[in-house]
Amino acid sequence: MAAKMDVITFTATGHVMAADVRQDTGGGSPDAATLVGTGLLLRDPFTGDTRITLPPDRLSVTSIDLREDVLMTAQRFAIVDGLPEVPAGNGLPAVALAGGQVRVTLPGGDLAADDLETWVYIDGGVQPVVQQVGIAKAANSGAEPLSLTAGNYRALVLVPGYLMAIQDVVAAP
Amino acid sequence: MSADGGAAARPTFYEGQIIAAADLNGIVDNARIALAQHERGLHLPGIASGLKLSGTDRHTNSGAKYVDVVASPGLAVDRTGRHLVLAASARLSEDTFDALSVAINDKAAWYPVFLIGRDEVPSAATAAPIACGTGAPTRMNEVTELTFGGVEAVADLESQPAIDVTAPPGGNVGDDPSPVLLGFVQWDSSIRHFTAVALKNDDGVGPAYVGVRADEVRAQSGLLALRSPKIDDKGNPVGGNVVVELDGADDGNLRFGTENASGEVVPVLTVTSKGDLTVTGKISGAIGGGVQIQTGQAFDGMLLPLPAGITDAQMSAGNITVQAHVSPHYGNPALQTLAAGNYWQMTPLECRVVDRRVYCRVRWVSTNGAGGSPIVMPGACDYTVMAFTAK
Repeated sequence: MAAKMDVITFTATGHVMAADVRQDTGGGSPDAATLVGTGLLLRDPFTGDTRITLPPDRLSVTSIDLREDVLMTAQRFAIVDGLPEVPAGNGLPAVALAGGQVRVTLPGGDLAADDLETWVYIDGGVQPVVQQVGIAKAANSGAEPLSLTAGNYRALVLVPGYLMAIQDVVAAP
Repeated sequence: MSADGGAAARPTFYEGQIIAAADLNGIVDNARIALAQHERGLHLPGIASGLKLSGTDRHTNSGAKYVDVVASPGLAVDRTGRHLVLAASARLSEDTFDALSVAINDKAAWYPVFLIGRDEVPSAATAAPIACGTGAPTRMNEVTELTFGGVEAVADLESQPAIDVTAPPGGNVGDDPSPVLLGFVQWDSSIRHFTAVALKNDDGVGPAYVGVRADEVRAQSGLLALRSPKIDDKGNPVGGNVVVELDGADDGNLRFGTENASGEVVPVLTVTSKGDLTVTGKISGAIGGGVQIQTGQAFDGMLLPLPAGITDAQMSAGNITVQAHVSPHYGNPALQTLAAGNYWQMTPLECRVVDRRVYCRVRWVSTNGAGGSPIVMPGACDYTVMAFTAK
């Protein structure tokens, strides 16, 4: 039997957030809360500061065949049809908070090949906001109404076909 | 209930007695009630055999996919003790489903399929000969039919009215038929067809199978066995059984195992009457005074996995003390492929664990400076977690 690993994914998009290997897999597959506790910390790689804490109810745990590159660089993968893939899109999607809207824009002027269901997880307010944003086929961006108090936020942007991105974003009135 | 505690009056006869219809009906009724009391009192209701739902893929003239759903022949016992016999395969009727108006505006909704039984006086054309003078029928049809419920109907199965101990099969007078769940179907209102069939709904609710109410089960051969088929995640048998045996031989043994291809039980756990325990696998969990160990790799930001069988609750209760050691995990990253002869070098920036949470960051440098080098990102660590159990 092939060695297995757990991947912790953002449930709505399949982006891998973390991974682990357990030599003793007795007791079956753990749930997300068991592996992340109150939340998975997504940190600034340079400073080590926590930028976003993803709660377990947004995460899923999937068991896949062990792959060294997934373990070493988990956040560069997404689970597609049960298998880990490095998203093919070049560049990172961007998010903007302005005019009572949250807007997700594909990088490099890319146009969506099909309708895209993207997700934005915004931390830094009174409580986190999770917003689905659709990008129509042949469009470069999509927006949804979202009212946030003016200020500084941190956003996790998850677009199928692209690497996950974390960015600082200022909410303008 | 009568003043004598509900004792039933059993017909008796004497030589030369003129037998009335009530006497003969009493014989039949007593037997029916006794059987129903046995089923209600000594058994749990459900499917006894067969009654499996299966679907065959079809297409409408416009190309829309649907399934023809058929229930196989079989026997069930409802909670009133009534036997529900489906003598031949029966196709689930779309017209019946439509007429019940249980569908909601959700094609993914699962609707329960029930088997119910009821008594039906036969129509004059199909009835057995009519008794002289009375016009009363001499047969009662015990009808079994397939029907459907709304998506919430399975929740009502546990909240049905109590059944009088003296009630006949079918329950108290005026009660609705007691349904037995066979499975679930999905429905597309636009084509008026079923589109899927399943044993269980999304909440994992599925049919009940007949059971036994017993405080003691006694073997006569010296070997008592419990068997259950191994199943996949959809509830379908995959071949072979898991078995628990109480064996009176060799002064007594308890065995748990699975059947091999020959049907022989291969025990993985055995307890002798002397208390000797033999297991072929691992023993996990909070063993008093023991140490449980988990090793592996874990990514930045997550908690270190605990040894199998050890829980957060045990740690919070102070029954378990955990110690952990981590070190950077080296391996090949999913970064840009470099020109031949070049490679990515990893340098750990941070690798520690605080309250079981991993803090691990690494710096990747390519030997030829390509690929956006250097890159700083979260990393993975090798870990050893030891859980010490209080005695």
